[in-house]
Parts: sequence; structure tokens; C-alpha cells
Amino acid sequence: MPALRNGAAALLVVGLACGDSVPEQPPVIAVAFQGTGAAAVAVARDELAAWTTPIRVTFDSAVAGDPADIEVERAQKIVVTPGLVAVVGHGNSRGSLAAAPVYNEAGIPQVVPTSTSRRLATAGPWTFRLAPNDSIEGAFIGDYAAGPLRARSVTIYFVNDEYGVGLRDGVKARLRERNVAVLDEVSVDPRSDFPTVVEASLRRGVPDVVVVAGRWVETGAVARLMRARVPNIQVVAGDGAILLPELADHVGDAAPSVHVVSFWLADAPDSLSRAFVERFGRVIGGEPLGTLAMTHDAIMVVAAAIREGGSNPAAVRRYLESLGRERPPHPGVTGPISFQPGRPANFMMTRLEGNRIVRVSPR
Amino acid sequence: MTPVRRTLSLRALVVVILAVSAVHVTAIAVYLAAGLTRRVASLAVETAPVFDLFAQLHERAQALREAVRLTIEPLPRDSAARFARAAEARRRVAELGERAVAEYAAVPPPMRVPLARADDDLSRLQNVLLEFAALLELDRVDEAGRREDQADSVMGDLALHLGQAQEAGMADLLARERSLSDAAGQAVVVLGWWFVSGLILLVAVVLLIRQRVQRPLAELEAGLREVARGEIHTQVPAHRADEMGRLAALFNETTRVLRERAQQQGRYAAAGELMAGVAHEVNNPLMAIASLAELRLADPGLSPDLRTELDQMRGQARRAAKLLSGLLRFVRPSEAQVGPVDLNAALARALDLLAYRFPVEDVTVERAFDAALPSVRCDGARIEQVFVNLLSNALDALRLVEPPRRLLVRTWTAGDRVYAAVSDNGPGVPEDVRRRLFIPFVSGKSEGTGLGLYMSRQIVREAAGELVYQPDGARGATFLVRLPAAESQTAAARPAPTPTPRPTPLAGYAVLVVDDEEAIRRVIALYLERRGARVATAVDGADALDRIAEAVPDLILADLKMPGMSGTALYQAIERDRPELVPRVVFLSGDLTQLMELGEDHGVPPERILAKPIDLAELETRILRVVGGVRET
Repeated sequence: MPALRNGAAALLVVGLACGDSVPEQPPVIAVAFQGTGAAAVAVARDELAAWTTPIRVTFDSAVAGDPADIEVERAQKIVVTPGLVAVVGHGNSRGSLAAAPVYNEAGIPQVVPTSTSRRLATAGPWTFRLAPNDSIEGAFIGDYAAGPLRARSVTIYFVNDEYGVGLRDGVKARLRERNVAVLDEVSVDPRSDFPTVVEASLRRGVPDVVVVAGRWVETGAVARLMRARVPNIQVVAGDGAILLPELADHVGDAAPSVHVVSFWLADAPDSLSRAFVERFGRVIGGEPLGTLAMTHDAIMVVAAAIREGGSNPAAVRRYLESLGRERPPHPGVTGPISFQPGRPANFMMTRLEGNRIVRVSPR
Repeated sequence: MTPVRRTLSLRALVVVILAVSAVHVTAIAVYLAAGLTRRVASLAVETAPVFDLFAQLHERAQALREAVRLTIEPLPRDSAARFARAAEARRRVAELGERAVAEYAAVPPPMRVPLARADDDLSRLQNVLLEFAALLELDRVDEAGRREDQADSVMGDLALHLGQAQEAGMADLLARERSLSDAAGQAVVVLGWWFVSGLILLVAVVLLIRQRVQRPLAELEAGLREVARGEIHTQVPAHRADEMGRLAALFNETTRVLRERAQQQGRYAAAGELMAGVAHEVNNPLMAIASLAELRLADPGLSPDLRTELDQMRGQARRAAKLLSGLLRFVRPSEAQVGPVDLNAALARALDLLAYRFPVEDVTVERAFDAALPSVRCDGARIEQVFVNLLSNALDALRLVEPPRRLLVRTWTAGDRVYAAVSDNGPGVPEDVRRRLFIPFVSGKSEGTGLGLYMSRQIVREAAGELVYQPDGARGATFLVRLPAAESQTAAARPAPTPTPRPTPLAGYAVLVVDDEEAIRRVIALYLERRGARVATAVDGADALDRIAEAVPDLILADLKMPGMSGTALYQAIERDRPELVPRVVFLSGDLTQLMELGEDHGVPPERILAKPIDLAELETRILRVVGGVRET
């Protein structure tokens, strides 16, 4: 037994000596997001460079709306990254949900910045959704259609995935409450024959307002066709449509009739927003979109978890869980961040003005 | 002495064995539950969602295929019918709802990618169908017809991806099945090893029990058997400092105590033997002295002073003889002779035995005997021993207090019980000793054996009675003997009064006196002759046989212990050669225990056994009874 103890002690000494000779691997935050996310990563890296805690942020670019299979493969690749402590991503609800089992099985915290599917809440204990869920966003859209837009009837175009279906259900539920008729529900995807499906839908009924629970491709196609067929019709799209300049390009001259939900705008007056906008302008140039602010917030809340909770996945998870409970919410650019049920949601309705998104409501 | 090893106690050993057995039994159950049952359960739990998902996807695909058939079948020319078909297509798609939304977490990772693709294919197919319906609604029949190819293409993709998912699922199931099979094989191996280890454990436990329990028990049993055979030098080895070791040590201690007691008993027995021998030698001169004094006292011409002196001489000799007789009874073990016993007499004898201590120790003895006390049925000698013990204890206790020292001896009757009590005004028995008073080897005296009261209680209990201690107020002690009164045994059983002697009551009888002690022989002969008998004498058995050959006596009064041919040898010779003379033999001895040499069936009636020294008048009475009987026969 003494020999065994001595041997173990010797191994420990050797291990410690070897440990000194190998530089310690800094904790890694992997960001899996559509290409625009690179801007948020760059800003976050710039901000983290001033920290004493070394944190590495990697970026895996996706095309927005990548098929779920690609998101799964991406997650399987990311999860084996050496030093990985947490993941920020993926780019949409479907991708995030598809990737969630991979992270949950590996025990890696996944902070989803912009996906709104309510199913993320049950994706697993390691998955944290930063954005409000689609029921809340759907209710906001429904209220906007029934309120400011005075809609009596609505047709909903939706992409047949977790984001589109979730948002559609949220809108329908609120419209039902507000006694607004849903004339038609039309499933579309980027390869859809939009003129045909829009025309057929209009044959079935002409609504006051069209809601698009999809991305900029579907929103642009529907908005242009609607403007051509029903000039005064208003189109309201969910947050998934915001991608510039893609949305502006797709919408074209129908831009004045298009209303898009955003979680944050660069005109926010608070100091954190101002600092973020300033840093963004300095590092990237131009104005950041809400999705980038959300992605930035997701990276920074994970970084704070590493710094204050510990540089291992379990510690990060405990930190995230404690926000708004044992700890105060993390001060984010898009607002106080916690992952507790019933946390306040920030929404605003915006419109396109040229290549800019401007606030419509609330002012 | 084998060194005693310090090991686990048997209790701890049993606990350890039970714990190891419990661990052994439960560990395999836990292993099977955790290793195999869990895998089987997880297989069922984890495969169920896969099958559910497959079923859902297949159902959806099948429904879509049915819907696709709408695009393949020839389109009706009638626009209303086409519209109806469009509505049918839309209805079917609507019925399907949205995508299955694959539960990715529930399916194995290799299935997730193809399933996601199949899921996308299904959504795309739904959209194609809706476009087909839209075209029909818009009456663009030709374009609707062309959607068939598009639907077929998506269906092909769907079939491919479902196949891939199915393949991945099957591979996963096969992997699980293999894993389960491996686990089952592993479980069989583990169970085998477990069985072997159980056997080893069992053998180890058996060996351990043999070593720790069976062997010491066997040694203890053998030791006890040896002790039961009387071999009290037996020792058993105490191998360990456990319970069995302690038992062995206790056994050895017990035999040690037994050996010590036996040595003590041996000394007592030797003392008894010595005393018996001495008694014989002392009784003869005592009898000679008493008898000579008695003969002289019969002389009417004695001066008063000489008469007084001779009377004192006779009295002292008798007193000494009585004391000797009591001592002999007490020290010589004898066979139990249960019969009616007069407790008053037994108490009186015990008092006589210890009477020499009363004046020396300044003890006043008070007797309160119930004259009408019924007899009790017990062994007289042993009950006398009880009283001697109680009186001796009382005297020892009285030595601890200053005079006046009082000893009260009482007898009385209550109901069918007879009571005898020995009380003293000594210090009494301390409270802590009382509880252990009748426990063997417990003594309140520094030199006591601790057996007196224990044996006394045993003797009383054997006679269906009880011996109890009664504290006597603040000081003093009373030991109470309670015995059942013997039925129809009262004073009536006492000896009949001696008939009034005649001047020459032995006239006409021929008596042969056989004794090696000339003084005894002479004085008896002189007395018998004076009482009218014709007396012949002999110095030993052989001499007696010669005298018998010369003239047959009416009575042969023989000493038992004689040099040359002893009294018992004489008896045996008469028994063998002249059996008709056996009833005429009367023995006279200072040590009656010698009669035992004749065996239990010596056939000598008790009334023909006389103990030295005997009162000459008593001798005459006994002779008359014998010769009277002889004449009558």
C-alpha cells in the first residue's frame, strides 16, 4: 500500500509538471449562426479582449434556413470542439431544435439567441432560449393586425417548420381572441410557386392584412405579389424576415406595405445599447440589427457565466439557470436576460425605409 | 498453554458473514437490475419513439402518396369536378397537418439527419400538392398535370431518406440488440463467477464456522464428557479471545475450582477416616472406663466420695463417647437411610456435638422443643448435618458480637408441617450476601467453603422441605427448616420402654464375648456373669470359632475390628460353616462403618449392632432381645 501511494504521488507530481508545460486551453464558446452572426462574434471578441478571463469564440457560419439535417451535422461537428464550454445557436427554430439533442446528450449548454419556437423550452435541460417564444410574438403580431392595422380578416402564409407553424398558431390564437377572421392558411417554402398559391388564396378570399410566418424570401415574394394584386394590403412578418439587405431586395417596391417584428433596434436609447452600437460601428461599421444584438447578448451572457460561474459546461449551465433566481438578470443590450418563465419580452414593429429598419410601434 | 489470539468476536463474525452474504446476494440482483434489466428497459423505452416516429412518417407518407395519386389520375374535364379534386387534395393535406416535427432527441443520432431530410421532403410534398390544388382551382389544368413529375421527384427523395432513416434505425436496433446480447453473455459469465465466488464464500464460511465454532464446541463437549466421567483435571484449549474462548476459559476455571473442592473434600474424607480409626481406639478405653465405673457403682459398700467420683468418671466417659459417636456420624459418609426422624432428637444430637463451644464462647443456648413434634421422613444423619451447619454458622456469627450471645433452637408444628428454627442475636446476614446466600461457593466467612448452606438447602429440599433465611429484626438471624410431617409417624414410633431388669436376667444363657481388648472383654464378661450368664471369651475370630466348636453359645458378642481374624471374617465363617448360628451374632464396635465391609446384604438386624461405648444396662437389654428371640425360634 505505501508503494501504491508513493506511485500515485509520483504520477501526480509528473502530471502537475506536465500540466505546467502545456498551455491551458481557454474555454470555447462556439457560435453557430447565419453568416451575419460573424459581425456579432467580431464585436463580442472585441469586447472580450478587454477581459482578464481568456475566452475563445469560434464561429460556424450557416445559411439562414439551412435544412435540419445540415444543422444536426453541424452540431455533431461543433460538440467535439476541444475546450468547448457552450454553444450559441443555431440560426432558426428548426435548426436549433434539430441540434438541441446533440448538445443535451453531450452536456453542453446551448443558448439559442433568436429562435422563438416554444418547443425549445422542452428541448432539454442544457438548452436556453433567449428570445420570447412564438406564442408571445404571435400575440404581438395579432394585436398589431387587429389594432393599428384594423384588420377584419387575415390570411397567413407560413413556412412549414417549427418557426412558421409556431408563429402561425400564436397569431391565430390572438386573432381568434380579437374576433378577426383567418381567411386562409397557406404553406409555402422558398421553392413554392408563389404566384399560383397567392392567386389561389386570393380566389378563396381577399384579406385586409397578410401575415407571413416565414423568412425574407417568403415575405418578399408574398409582399410583392400582394402589392400587385391588392395595392393597399398590409403585410406583417415575424422576426425571421429581418435580414438586410436580403429583405429589402426581396420586398422591392412593396416595402412600404411590409411591417416586420424586431426584438431590438439600434435607436434604443439605453447606455448598453448605445455602447453596443458604438462598438459595432467601430468594429464592423454601420448599424447592427436586432438579431445581431441578440446574438451578441447570447455570447456575452455565456462569457459572463464562464467568468463568474466557472469554465466548464456544468458551471455555465448552473449560472444560466440561476439568472433571475439566485442572481439578478444579466444586463444585456436587448434588455435584462434571464431564462425564467414569464420573463418580460421586448417587441417592436418596424418598417423598411430603404435599406434601414425603422421603428413603427411602440414609439 | 496455547497463546490466545485476539480475533473478531463470534457476534461480530456472524454480523460480517451476514453482511457479506447479503452483499453477495443483493449485488447480483443489483448487477442484473442495473446492467441487464436497465438495458432491456432502456431498449424498450428508446426504441418505442423510433417505431412511433416511423409509423407517423409512414402514415404521413402513405397519406401523401394517396394524395399524390390525385395528381396522377387523369384530370376531369368538368371544371366543377376539377375544383372538387382540388378541394380533396387540400383537404387531405390539411388533414395531415404540418410536418411530423421529428422528435430528434428521442431517436438515435444516426437517424436524425435522414429523418430531418425525410421530414423536409414531406413538407415539400405537401406544398407541391397544395400547388397542384391551387393550379386546379385556377383552372390551369395543363400545369397541374405537370406537377406529377415534381411530386414523383419529391416522393423519390422521401423514399430515399426514409430508407436511410430506416437503415440507420435498423443499424441502431441491431447495435442495441448486439449490446444486449453481449450484456446477456456477460451476465452469464458474471453469474458463473458469482456462483463460483458464492461457493468459495460458502466453503470459507463453513471452514470458518468449523474453526471458530464447531471445533471449540467439540472440544468443550469432550471436556464436559470427561468431567461427567469424573475426570476433573480436564482442560480445554482457549484458541481465541472470543465467546468460545471465554467459554473454554470458564470451563477451565470451573474444573480448577472443582479440583480445589475435591482436594478439600479429600482432606475432609481423610480426616473422617482418621477419626474413625481414632474413635475405635478411643471407644474401647472409654467403654472400659465407663463399664468398670458402672460395675464398681453396683457395689453397695462404696464410700459416698468414691461413689461420686466413680459416677463422675462414668458420666465423663459416656459424654466423651457420645461426642465421638456424633463426630463419627458427621464425618463418615454413609448411604442415605430415609426413614422417620425425630427432629428434636436430631437437633439435640447436633447441639451435643457442638456443646463444647457454648461455654467457651459464652453462648447461652435456649431450647424450645415441641414435645409432641411429629416425626419427619428424611435421612436422619443428613438432617443432623444440616442442623450442625446452621448451629455452627450461628456460633460463628455470634463470635462477631459482644456478649450476651444467645442461641435459640425451636421446633414446632403448624398444620402438616414441622418447623425447626435456629436463631441467634448475631450481626445478621448483610443485605448483599442474602441474595447469594444459597448459591454454591458463596460464603460470608473468610474461611468458609461456601457449600454449607447450599448443601443444607439441597438436603432439606430432597426431603420435600425448604430452608429459608429470616432476618431477625435489626440484628440477628433465623434459619428456618420446614419439612412435611411424616404420616402416622409420631411419638408412637419411639422405642418401647425398657422392661424392669430382674436381678439375674441372663441366668441360663451362654454368651461368647469376642474382643481383642482385654479390658473390654473382662468388664463385659464380669458384668454378664453378674447378671447370671455363663460367659466364655475369645481374643479374635479364630479363637471364637474354637470356643464355638467346644460349646455352642446362645449369643456371640463380637468386636468388629480385631487383629488376626476380624469380626466380619468371623461372621462370614459362621455364615458359611454354622449358618444356624448367624442369628446369635451381635456386633459391638467403636466404628460401625466397618459393617459396610460385609456388604449391603449382611443380614444383621440393626438391633444386633451395638456401638461402643454402650451402657451396660442397654447391653443387657439388647442381649435379652436377641437371646429371647433365639430361644423362641
